[in-house]
Amino acid sequence: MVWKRWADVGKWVLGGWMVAVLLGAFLLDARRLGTLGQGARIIFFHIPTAWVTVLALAVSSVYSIRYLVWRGQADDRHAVHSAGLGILFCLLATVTGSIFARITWGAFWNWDPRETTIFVLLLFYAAYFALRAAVSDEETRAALSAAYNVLGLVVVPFLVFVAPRLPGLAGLHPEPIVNVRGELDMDPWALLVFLAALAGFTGIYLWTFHLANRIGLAEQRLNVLEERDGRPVDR
Amino acid sequence: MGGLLIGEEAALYVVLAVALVVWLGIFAYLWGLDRRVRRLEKALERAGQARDR
Amino acid sequence: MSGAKQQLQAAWAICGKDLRAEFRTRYALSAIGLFALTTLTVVSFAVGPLFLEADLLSALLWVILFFAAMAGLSRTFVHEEEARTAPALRLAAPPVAVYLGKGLFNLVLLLLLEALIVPLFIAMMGLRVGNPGLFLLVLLLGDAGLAGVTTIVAAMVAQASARGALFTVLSFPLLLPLLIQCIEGARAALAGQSTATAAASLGVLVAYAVATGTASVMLFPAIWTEM
Repeated sequence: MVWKRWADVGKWVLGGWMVAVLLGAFLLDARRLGTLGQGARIIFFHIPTAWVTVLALAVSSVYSIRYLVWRGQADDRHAVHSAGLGILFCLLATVTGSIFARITWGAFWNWDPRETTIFVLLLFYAAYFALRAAVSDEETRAALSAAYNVLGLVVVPFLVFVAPRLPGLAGLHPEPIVNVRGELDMDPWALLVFLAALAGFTGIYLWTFHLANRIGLAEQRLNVLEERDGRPVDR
Repeated sequence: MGGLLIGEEAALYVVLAVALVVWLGIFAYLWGLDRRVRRLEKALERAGQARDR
Repeated sequence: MSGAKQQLQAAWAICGKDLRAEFRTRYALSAIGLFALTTLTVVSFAVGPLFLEADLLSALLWVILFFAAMAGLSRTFVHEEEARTAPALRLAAPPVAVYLGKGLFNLVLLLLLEALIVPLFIAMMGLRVGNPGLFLLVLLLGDAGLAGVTTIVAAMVAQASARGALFTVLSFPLLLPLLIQCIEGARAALAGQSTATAAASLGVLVAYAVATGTASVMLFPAIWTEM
């Protein structure tokens, strides 16, 4: 199929793209990133991974809602795959963020609102998979975890928008994301690498998500064939 | 960074090299998966058609 | 609408049934009551003669309440599964009524728990409550959110294995924003802040209870009728 060719080209482009991003991230003069020194380069990895986390979890929630409405098994699979990627990128974002916090403010963890949010997201998705592991019936598992996913979706805005406004929590130090993006007076070359990293990581997520779904679908088809023929297929 | 064994600039290149290797590894893995799934999908097509005939 | 009225009546009946059963056995009440008392004693002992600020004390109070909730609020559904009365309940009442009834039951449990623990806490920790009205309001609104979320999570957990641990694992991420807000509200009340100033805080508590409650009412049928 024609679009498969294009998809292949896209994947190779992604490969080269990320090489370019890495080169830019490490070879760019660190002074363009402010006064924090070489460590500031981590922002090229921390923010994109945090963004992909949010994206993956949003996508997962959408598929969960779709599942609850139409009970399609594919939707459940998609939700799980995206959640899996979400938790992976969340881990990366938490670790890189912690390193960034150490560089900027001297401590690996501060319980500042954004840090708390990402940590709770990590816990939430760990709980999601724990729930899935604890239920043996396929349909029950899908329904329960989809409902839990939606509950999480409802609760997240409280973390994102409310917690930062609390007098007790905020006010320790300004949030990095608000600073960098809100002002957006990043050095133009740094901005270029940053945006490229954002696009690149998104591309990695999309490709991996698509792959996971294809594998899931193939396995599903194999199951169907096995049932039809009555004998197991050599995998 | 650096300071003890190698200079700061050299450390930077080391990290860059490591990152490139890691990325190329991940990319190769994903590409391999992609190809295997492609073959699987084709085999499924054929198997499905054979049954339907 | 007669449909809604019937649902509310059914919910009331379910709550009543659970409460009557509870007063007979006092199982859940003893579980959370004893747990809270033990924790309170340990905290008081550990703190000793140290003077603690209102911030820390409000946090401690809500930690005790939260863990007591984890100890006892899943009973309402787990008991149904264990006693095999769940299928009968599914037939007897519409899902939303079940959720509301059990949610109300959990709320009552929480209120009873607080009636016991909060005065004790205040006495043992030598607390001075600046704004009692606000303090009470934070407790009530926090309970509403707590009851709403724990009830639906309890229903999920009842259909899974590893229930005790799973209940806490599932509840905590959802309840954390509520917990943060409750601690903040209690802190303000202890410090004597006026209710008007704390209106934003209270608003968040209300919003949380309403948002999670509405979502739970909508999601409950999907998970309850699943067997």
